[in-house]
Amino acid sequence: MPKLKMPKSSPSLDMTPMVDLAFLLVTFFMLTAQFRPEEAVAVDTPSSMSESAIPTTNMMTIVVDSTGKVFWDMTDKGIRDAVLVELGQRVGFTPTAEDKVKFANVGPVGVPLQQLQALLALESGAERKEFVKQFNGIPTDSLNNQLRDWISTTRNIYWNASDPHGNPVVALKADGNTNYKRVAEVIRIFQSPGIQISKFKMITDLESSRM
Amino acid sequence: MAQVPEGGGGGGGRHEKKRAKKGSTHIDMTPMVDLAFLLLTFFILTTTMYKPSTLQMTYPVPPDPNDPKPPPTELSNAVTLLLTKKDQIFYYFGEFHTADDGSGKPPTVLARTDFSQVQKLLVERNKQTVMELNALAKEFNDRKITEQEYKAKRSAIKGTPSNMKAIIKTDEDAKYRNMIDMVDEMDISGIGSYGVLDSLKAGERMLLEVEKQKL
Repeated sequence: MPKLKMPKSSPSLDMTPMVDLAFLLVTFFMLTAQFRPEEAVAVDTPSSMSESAIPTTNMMTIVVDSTGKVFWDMTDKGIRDAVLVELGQRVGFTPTAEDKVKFANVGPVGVPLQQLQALLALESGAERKEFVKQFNGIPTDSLNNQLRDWISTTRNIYWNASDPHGNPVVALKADGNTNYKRVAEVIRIFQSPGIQISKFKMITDLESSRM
Repeated sequence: MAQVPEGGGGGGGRHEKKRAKKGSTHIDMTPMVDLAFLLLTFFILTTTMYKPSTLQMTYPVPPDPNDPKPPPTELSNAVTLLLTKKDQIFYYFGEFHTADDGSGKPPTVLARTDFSQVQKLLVERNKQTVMELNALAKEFNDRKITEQEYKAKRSAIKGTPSNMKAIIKTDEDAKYRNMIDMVDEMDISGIGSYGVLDSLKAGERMLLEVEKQKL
């Protein structure tokens, strides 16, 4: 009987193509990954069949969370700076360069104007989150409607810009479990005289299938 | 005190010299591959395809109080959907009548449905339009018409005055999600003109309260 001979050559194989591929994929994922910014507020948006994509610039988002707290958010850093300076003036707060950098990265803002300075003095996202919890978002009651101020200030900055880029896109991002009544109140502020936004986008999750 | 191993070093030196002469360029790539795959796995696992989309809404501009009042909208082919708690929907067709409003019409009764049923109901009611829209979509999919034509024709069909209209009303227990779902249904069932209100007429409220007790 012939003996079964094991091949003598070492079992190592050329791993170069595999390594090439692995590094290609690693590079791809590392370069395309965008770390999601620290969410100051958790919002579970409802799903819809609409497929139109969300703009990434010139968008002002009004966020309503499940308890009805209202937040303001803006995509562009320059506009955020200008809004901070403008609104800071009203409460006697002159933001430093450091404040501006922080403000550019805090995401949705949902504290009364008087608390902006205190909010920006905090260092970490967790601290800010804890701090924001004390308040009921941006006040929207008729006597002290600061949401109006946020919206109109943002729009004025757009209108007064040296190279006017028209209007910001207005988006409403509300949690699916918010009472519609609360959302309707915010929409009424959108429509109120002096603001009069009647076209806006509602941010939803893309629904995979429901037909 | 501290000792530096010497013997090994000398031997190693001789060994290295020998190797360098042979010029073997093989290096062990295993750790590098390990690392590469570790990173690859990390990025693949932490990447979530987060893809929000947007729903364009256009609300009517509040009318100027000085302007003359526009004629009331024809509601004979309208459905009024009342959204309330527990994802329930109550609806009626046509105008709202009470027993003693002098119109001589039978008083409105609310029917009940929910989000799994309402699509069937609306599509059934609006069969003609839905069929036309489907035919149009098929034409578009077969590349017989351009996207522009498709969109224009689509909104023309939806905007036909005889087409069904809808009024979506929410009470204080309705969730925002309900309203978005309902707006979605409007698109599916080919209803071009609809309005969203967050207040009910007194008569509607009375009927709705009675129905809500039964939930």
